[in-house]
Amino acid sequence: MPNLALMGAGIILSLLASQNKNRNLSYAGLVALAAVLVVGPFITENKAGLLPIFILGLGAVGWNIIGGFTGYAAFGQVAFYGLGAYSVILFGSARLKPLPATSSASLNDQTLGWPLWLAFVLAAVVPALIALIVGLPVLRLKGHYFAIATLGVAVATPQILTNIGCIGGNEQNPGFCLGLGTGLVMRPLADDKEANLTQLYFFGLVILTLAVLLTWFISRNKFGYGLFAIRENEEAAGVLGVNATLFKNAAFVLAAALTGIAGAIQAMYQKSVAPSEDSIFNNSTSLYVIVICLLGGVGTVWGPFIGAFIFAFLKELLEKLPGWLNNPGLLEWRDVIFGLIVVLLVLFLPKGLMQLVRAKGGFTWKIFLRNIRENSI
Amino acid sequence: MSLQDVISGLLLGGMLGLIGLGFSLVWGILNIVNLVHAPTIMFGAYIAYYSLEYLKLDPFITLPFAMLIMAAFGVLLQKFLINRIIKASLLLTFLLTFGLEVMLVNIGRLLFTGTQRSVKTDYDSASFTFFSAEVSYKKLAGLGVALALTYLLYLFMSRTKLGNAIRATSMDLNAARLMGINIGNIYVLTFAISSALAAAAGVLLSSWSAFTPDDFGRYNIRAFAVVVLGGLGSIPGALLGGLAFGLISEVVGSITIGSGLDAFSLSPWKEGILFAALVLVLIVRPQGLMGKQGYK
Repeated sequence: MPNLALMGAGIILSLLASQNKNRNLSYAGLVALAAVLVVGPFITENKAGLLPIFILGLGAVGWNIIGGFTGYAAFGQVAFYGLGAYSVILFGSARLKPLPATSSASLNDQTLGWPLWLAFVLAAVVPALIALIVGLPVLRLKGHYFAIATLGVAVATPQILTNIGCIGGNEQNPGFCLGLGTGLVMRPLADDKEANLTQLYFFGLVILTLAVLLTWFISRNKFGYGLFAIRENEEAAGVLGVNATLFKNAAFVLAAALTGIAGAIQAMYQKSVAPSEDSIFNNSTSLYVIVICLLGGVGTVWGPFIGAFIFAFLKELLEKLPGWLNNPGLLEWRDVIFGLIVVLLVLFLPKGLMQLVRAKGGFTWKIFLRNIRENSI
Repeated sequence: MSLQDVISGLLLGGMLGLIGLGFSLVWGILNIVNLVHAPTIMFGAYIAYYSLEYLKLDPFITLPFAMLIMAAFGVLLQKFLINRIIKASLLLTFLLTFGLEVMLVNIGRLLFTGTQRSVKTDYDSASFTFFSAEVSYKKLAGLGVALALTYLLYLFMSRTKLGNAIRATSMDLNAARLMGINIGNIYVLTFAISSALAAAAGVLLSSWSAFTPDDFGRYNIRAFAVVVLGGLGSIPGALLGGLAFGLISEVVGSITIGSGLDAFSLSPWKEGILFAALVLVLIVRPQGLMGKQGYK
């Protein structure tokens, strides 16, 4: 219950902060939002339930740069999410030795691995490097073709990780291991589980805030204007002197780095990752980050942030509602309702919730009808 | 690699071609990547299951009825939902079909439950030997149906007025409208044909192996791959892409380098290789093997 209230407060306060009618109201919203988020983890009994806001929110902020600002609909962000998760565990907990996911014998051995800050930096750098290698050819494609190529990358990545296995090594020392199907296990941040979650919460909060500030900075910078120009018309942007190849690759790499850190936080929380689609490489993550942007507003600075709260709120509500209504059968309908919400949103509010607070002439019900008439044949 | 792998690849390829055909049609003409394709295949398979279970109807007799039912479903979907969003960006139409897919798959889970179902007929294991390879009659008949439907669609698109109207719509929307073509209705018709083809694939695939509602999602990604390989906007291309996909996946999966304990099997790399090939095709020849401008 406190979680739901926190998420609801997050939605309302960030909508207040993002509206552009009354400046003082924006500042008040921002301050209240910061207060709620700082106090949040100390009044809830389920801190883990709040983490997805930051994890998926960070992924959404990343996608917004390539999908929202640049207009390249990337449908395979989970590849970078998974690579980030993989990197943080590989470099942070390693003699690079695989442990079965159930074993906890050497979990508390703090002497293993490189410093955690370095592991986190690498969790951004590795996906960024892969994005650079993948992006150079793939970003030459447009529209549906780009979408599918990124999807292909997302399908191929866990397979490649699984099949690489160990490089070098012998019986006693397996060498540099990546997959082996058993996955990798992370040493914990701190001994106390609650402290561990609090650390992750604030780490996620700080990184997400920085990421939103970064997109804000980009959106009023030459780089951002270049990206907008590419979205509207790539050829025209080229004629105006925008180096389209450089710009869109930079956007793709930046998105991958942010998504990688999101994956790293998730990996720190779930402690073990396996290179499979059932684990960290679940394809629905790619879609969730897009849905989040859509909920808030694609291509806006605040959109992914608000969207992350709405998404978490909806998930939590659909999870809890059957219990309150004393109707456990309803739980099975959760995903049906989730799908229905996406369909209704696309139909009636394709520009996200931001459209309601930013609409010229204020909110009227006619906005919904106008949206549908605009896209109808 | 043996003759058996090649034949299994071709038989699987026929099914994938049929799936790709409907997918390619909607993508080429409506400019929508239609994720509802997989749930439509699922409904086709369950129609085959229930009509065998309760009406004792053979899947090959169920086939036309399943196609009609799902075509009607497609008409409703296109007329009342997708036509309302058709002018929006690619991202939004994609998300609409994503939402619908999530809804339909989960409705499928609730309606059909997660129990494994299989469609068992008395000619299930009947087969003949072709040189060294075992060929199942059932799968061969499936390939025959796939080829026949592809040819029928080709005739429809090239010989009838309606088919020409569909092609005109994909070539130049405004010119087609000026010629008196009702674009909305053309979209509805196209989507209905695509749904019928998906249902046919579902009915045919239902007897191949046991299935649950969760087993159909992968056909969306495969349909993607088939269309990209064959080239968007080509009927023979879809079939060819399907055959190529089936062949590659069966043949690559059977390759083993070396022998004994050091043997290195490509089987676990199958999907990775397929998608790497796919990305390569996209970059080197984005129009696919047989793709061209407009729907031919």
